[in-house]
Amino acid sequence: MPLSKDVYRVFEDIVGEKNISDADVILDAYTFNWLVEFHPGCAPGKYLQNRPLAVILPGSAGEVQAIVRACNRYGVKYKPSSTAYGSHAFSLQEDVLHIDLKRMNRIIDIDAKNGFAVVEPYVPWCQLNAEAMKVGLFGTAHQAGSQASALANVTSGWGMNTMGNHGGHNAKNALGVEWVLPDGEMIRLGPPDAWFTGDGPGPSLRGVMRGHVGALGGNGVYTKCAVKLHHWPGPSTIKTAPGGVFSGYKLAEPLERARVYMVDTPDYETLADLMYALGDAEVCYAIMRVGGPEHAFAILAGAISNQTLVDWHEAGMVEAAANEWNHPLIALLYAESDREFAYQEKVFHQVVEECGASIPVAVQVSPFKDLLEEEFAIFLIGNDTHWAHHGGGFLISAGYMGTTDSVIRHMGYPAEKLKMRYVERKGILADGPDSTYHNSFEHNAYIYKELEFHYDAANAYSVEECRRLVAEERDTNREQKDGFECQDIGLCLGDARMTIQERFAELGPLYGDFHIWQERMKRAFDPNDVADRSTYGIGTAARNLKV
Amino acid sequence: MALEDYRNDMMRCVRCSSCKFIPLGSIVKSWQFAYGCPASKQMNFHSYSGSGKLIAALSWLDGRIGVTPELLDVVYRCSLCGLCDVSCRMGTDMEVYEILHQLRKKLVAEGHGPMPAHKPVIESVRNYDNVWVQPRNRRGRWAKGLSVKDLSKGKEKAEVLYFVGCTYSYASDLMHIPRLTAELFTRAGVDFGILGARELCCASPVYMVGQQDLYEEYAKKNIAMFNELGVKKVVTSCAGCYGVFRSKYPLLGEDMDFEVVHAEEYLAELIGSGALVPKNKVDLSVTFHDPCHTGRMAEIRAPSGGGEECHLGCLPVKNVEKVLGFDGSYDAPREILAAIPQMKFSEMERIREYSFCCGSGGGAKSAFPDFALSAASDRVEEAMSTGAEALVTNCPWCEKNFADAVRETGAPIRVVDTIELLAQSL
Repeated sequence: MPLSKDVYRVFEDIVGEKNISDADVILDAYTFNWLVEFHPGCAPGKYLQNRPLAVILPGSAGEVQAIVRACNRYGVKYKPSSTAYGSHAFSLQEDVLHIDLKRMNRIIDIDAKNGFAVVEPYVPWCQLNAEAMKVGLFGTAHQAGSQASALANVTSGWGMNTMGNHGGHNAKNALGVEWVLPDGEMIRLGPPDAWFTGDGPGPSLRGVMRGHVGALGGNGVYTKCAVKLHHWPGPSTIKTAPGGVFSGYKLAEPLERARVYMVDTPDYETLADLMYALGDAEVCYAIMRVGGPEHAFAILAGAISNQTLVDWHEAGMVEAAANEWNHPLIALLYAESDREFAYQEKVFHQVVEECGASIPVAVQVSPFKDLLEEEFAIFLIGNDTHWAHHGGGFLISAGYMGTTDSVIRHMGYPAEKLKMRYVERKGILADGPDSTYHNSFEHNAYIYKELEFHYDAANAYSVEECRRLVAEERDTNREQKDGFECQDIGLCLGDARMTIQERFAELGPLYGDFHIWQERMKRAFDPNDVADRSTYGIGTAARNLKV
Repeated sequence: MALEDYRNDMMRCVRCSSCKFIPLGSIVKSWQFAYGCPASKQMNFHSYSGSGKLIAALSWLDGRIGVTPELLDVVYRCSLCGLCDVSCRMGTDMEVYEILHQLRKKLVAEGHGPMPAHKPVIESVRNYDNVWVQPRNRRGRWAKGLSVKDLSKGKEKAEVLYFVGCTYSYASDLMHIPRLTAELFTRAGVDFGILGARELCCASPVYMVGQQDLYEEYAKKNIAMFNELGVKKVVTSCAGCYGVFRSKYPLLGEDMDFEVVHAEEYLAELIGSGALVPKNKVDLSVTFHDPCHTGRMAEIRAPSGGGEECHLGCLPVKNVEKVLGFDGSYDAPREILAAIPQMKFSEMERIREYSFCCGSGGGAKSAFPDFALSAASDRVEEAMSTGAEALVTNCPWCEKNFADAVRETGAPIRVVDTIELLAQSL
């Protein structure tokens, strides 16, 4: 039911006429997103079935609080978002007010001495890191790309990043938080006059705030957050110049005391050993995987053009690499001093050798050497990952978090086998079996891994194949307990055959009945049930559960 | 080609918001100047971004939304600067600019567009061959008193046609730019002539608002006239003319027996060859604004028309070369400024292919002056952050819009054309 004129006016009075709209053309931009096609009833298009009632743009925490209070007063459901990349940024419910936090885009403070920045929701990593680098600090940017919100990453969703091996999972990089609770009360996590911690006084609410994967806007609105920043050994700005092969840019001058390596491992067992050993050695600034050679080439070519990938295949480049490399890993060494860099290099090579990994000859000479040194550092530091969309999207299977051993060793091969069956059916991109993306945390003891498969969002068969693949993967892994099912719980993909809440209810018993605890918190903090339920709580799926 | 041909691209938008920012995280140098899209920066609703307009176009095609004032606002409150296209193409094959243009074309073709403020401009082109509702016979007035060849009657011939453009021809506050340019050409011994009253609008402004029929009519007339003159080069001072001659006219498939050159490219060559030697010191600190139409929008973007093949399972492959805006005219003005003794030059953060638009293009200045002024003010602030005393550029539209912003904000900075500084130093 649309907002009544009177209620619309209440919201309009809070933000001003130009900061609220219920025009169809405005609303549709809040129904269309990546991954929408994998919710029940939405394929093959990317539109959600329901438009929001209106979109509102608050400019301050006070305005957010007034909006949330009005939502409680008039029984209007709401869903907040910042940069809003992916279907989890939108509500799947009917009759929801969408709160777009784009006007709240300030960096309030960078505390260089204590290593954190206080930001509002619409500060993407690219803006935060550009300022942090000036004071020798750097934030652990999200794999969604440098254009994605830092606050959302650390408070509300996922928490992945490419520097988690030393910077930790981003759930831990959220310090003090200003939080408008679902009922409109505003609280601060951490001491009221300081941002350096999100704990105390008294019992900590950090776990309630985001849990492990984040409430994705279902548990109130975070209006400011202190983001932990880590040491940055590099210059205050990265100097780039046109001329790179991939994005068209390369480093204008080499980074001092930095080197990007690609290391190959013959199998997942060795890869896991290498991850642990590199983590123990503490010599890497960033570690990530972009899959096996075929997938890595696909990702790199994506930055140039899809035609380039075809050309590389036709030229035999991809096949040659696939014959030589198995499960490569990308690592960035970056040191504060020449002495430290020499130490990092020495230890890194020793670890690689001891683990039975190797640095392929091909990447030690041009053009791959140049690519790694002159261009890949730009991507790693800038965290520019949005080129991974050859046909308008990728989906993941076997997206797990867990100990490095269990996630890498136990979950690689079966998922790959399944994927290759679908590759043969030509519904997804043929980029080899290992299209695994990794982020590692806590000295690589803990890892997030996803097996990506790229589809064409404009191709109904391709989208359908993805749905079938995910469904089949889920059916064969229903008893999986070795890792945390981040794909469904974190990404809130649900299953094309069932709602997110139904999927939560299905997974809950496997993971400590998280769904029941989440529902309890939802009810405790949101007595009027107005904060969005799409990605938080199990709602009607809890009907037969004792909550 | 039609909007419908690009349906696949619209469906492939992942709404990542890259189109709002300058490309690549490593290129962003500050919080303040990270945005690339002036419309998104000012209007905040996602619909105003490149992605939002793709979604709007698809929604309209799908019949989810109708043509409303809000849709027209979303589509036309945009300077069509092409930044979203460059940022998106860093990682995709999508043709964002082409979709935005096709959207305007379709709105016009179906009688919904352009905006009311654009209609007098279109009528002016139709009736007077210029965008300023000025009589044809006053078009050559800027050259009064100069000794230049008049190529319009076919009696005189020259190697170079100096094409001035509507704004430099008629705007009294900018007329000194073509005069200075002509004087510099004369001084360097360039064999050039002008068309005077026979010069026609390049039709870039009507192209930008989606009035395709009129654009094609004028573009073809111009191409025929330039061919008929037998000139080797068409040199223009106007960024709008340069951009459309260089990047859009070739797509019409007509033979173009001439090279298109910006006046500053030509002058930089003359400096390089020693034909012009800047000697006088100009004690000024300056920064340079790359206009969209000499920069990323001067690069030929051959549209795919939606044609693609499927490879490697489901990989959509287009049959056109992807461009990223690198082939704009970026070096010539910098070379000129570098040649001027004692001039101090600093770059802004957003330069070359990811320059921040002044906000004037795409019909935005006439239909949404508040938007244009807001974008220009943002850019003026960036120029001031370099410590420059003067913001230098080489586009009449940018110059006028920046001058308005400086007047409005009282910013202590001058807006200067490169040619003025060069003339001062000679």
